Amino acid sequence: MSSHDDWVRFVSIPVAAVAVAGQVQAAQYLTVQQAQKLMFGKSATFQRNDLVLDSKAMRAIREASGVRVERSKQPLWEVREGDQLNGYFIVDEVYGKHEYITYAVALGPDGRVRQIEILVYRESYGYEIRNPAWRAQFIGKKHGDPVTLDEDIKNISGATMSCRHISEGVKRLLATYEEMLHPG
Amino acid sequence: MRKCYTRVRRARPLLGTLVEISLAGQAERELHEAANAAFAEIARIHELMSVHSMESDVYRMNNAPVGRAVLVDERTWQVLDLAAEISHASNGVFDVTVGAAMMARGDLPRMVNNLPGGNATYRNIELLSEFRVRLQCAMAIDLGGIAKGYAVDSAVRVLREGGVPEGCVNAGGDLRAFGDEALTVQVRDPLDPAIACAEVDLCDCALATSAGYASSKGYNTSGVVLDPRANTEVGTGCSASVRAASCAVADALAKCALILGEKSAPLLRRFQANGFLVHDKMPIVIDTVPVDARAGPAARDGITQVDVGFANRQSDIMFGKCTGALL
Repeated sequence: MSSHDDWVRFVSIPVAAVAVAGQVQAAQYLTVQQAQKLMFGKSATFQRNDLVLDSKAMRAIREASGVRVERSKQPLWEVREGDQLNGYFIVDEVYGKHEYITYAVALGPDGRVRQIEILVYRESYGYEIRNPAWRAQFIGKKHGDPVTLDEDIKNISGATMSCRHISEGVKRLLATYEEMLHPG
Repeated sequence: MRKCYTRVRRARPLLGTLVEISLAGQAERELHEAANAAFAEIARIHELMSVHSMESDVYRMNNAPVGRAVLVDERTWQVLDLAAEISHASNGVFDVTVGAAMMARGDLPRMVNNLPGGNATYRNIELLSEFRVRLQCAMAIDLGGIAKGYAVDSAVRVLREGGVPEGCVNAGGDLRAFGDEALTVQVRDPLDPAIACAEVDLCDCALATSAGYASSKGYNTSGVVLDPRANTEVGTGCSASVRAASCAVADALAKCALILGEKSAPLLRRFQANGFLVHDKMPIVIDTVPVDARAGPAARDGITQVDVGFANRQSDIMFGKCTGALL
């Protein structure tokens, strides 16, 4: 009967796993290169060709998607298999009240979503996430920096994280494709 | 000599949340391929059981003419079968027909042609042979209280079949660990999601938490939990966590434990589950120690047989070893 009372320990500790300027629970899942390989295969070639959005494009994307466009530069790679265009690899970021997520979207050459992978997830309960300077400290750390973001990550049960912000981000990216890349 | 394997961690947005798969014990490439297959299975279950999608089995059942048998996927049928079992055992504390009340309140989108009245219960769902389902009256089924756990179980089955020795699948807090190593899971305080109020060690089993999280902290919640017997909302600031062999069972029983509180003990016992409640920062372990634990082997065997029989059946469903025999 021992399993009946010693299976749970009641504690009161922050869920933060690492201390990066405030309470942060963070997980690095994939680097950009890993995600590219996983989503398009080893023989694909990637040419970085970031989209630069002027204010007119930003407005059009916002109107088409109903989602605010905050950045004028969208990291994007054209993906080729031999000399055939095989799609696009886009890295994007979204943040909610407590979570800040970097994710990658694979689009087919027709602009359809093929796959979504989370690259880095961070959550924090201060005011930090609303603060661009706070978010800026992570820039560069998604390219496989030896930052120990993925050490000692806790598995957490409890409040369900909504993926609403990712859904909105993908909607915005599809509108971006239509505005900037869709032929004709 | 200590083997040194990479641990692979992946996450995708699925089931309305972030699903994380963490694997170890094989070469990195194999682990990534296994994770891809597991994500694909979860995505398929999402498509079949989403109340938001017009392509789903759930939508087709809810919008079929009353009394007409609807052919559904084997997986949807299995979830309904397990849901019926838990509904019977809990006397309706768990009831997938709660969807109508959720839609009426605006907690779910109205994905039905006509919003049904609130008279239907789980007893009005007939599970027929060959994966057909007949609804005896207008209703709105919502599998939100069990499908996430089922998806976790299915992902674990795919991973094991793919030869992965150990890992964990976590669908927004409903999670299951497999393999030899114990996994420590933190449970969020329902009043303060930044704080862990409990730690649970999982070894080859699942943990699910159901809660009314305090909205003052602004955390995204998956929505309210309704008591299907009266369609009343379960208060915020409490949570119930249930540990069971399968995540589908843990998922559904966590809702029951949130509604019933300590009175859920016999129900949990019946499914060989453990649980605890957290209310106003006060943790309470649900006492699932069999009352007759000291009453001699005869009485104990009586209960154990029921429980073990059920547990075996569940694992058969989850691991697909003899699903045919169930029909």
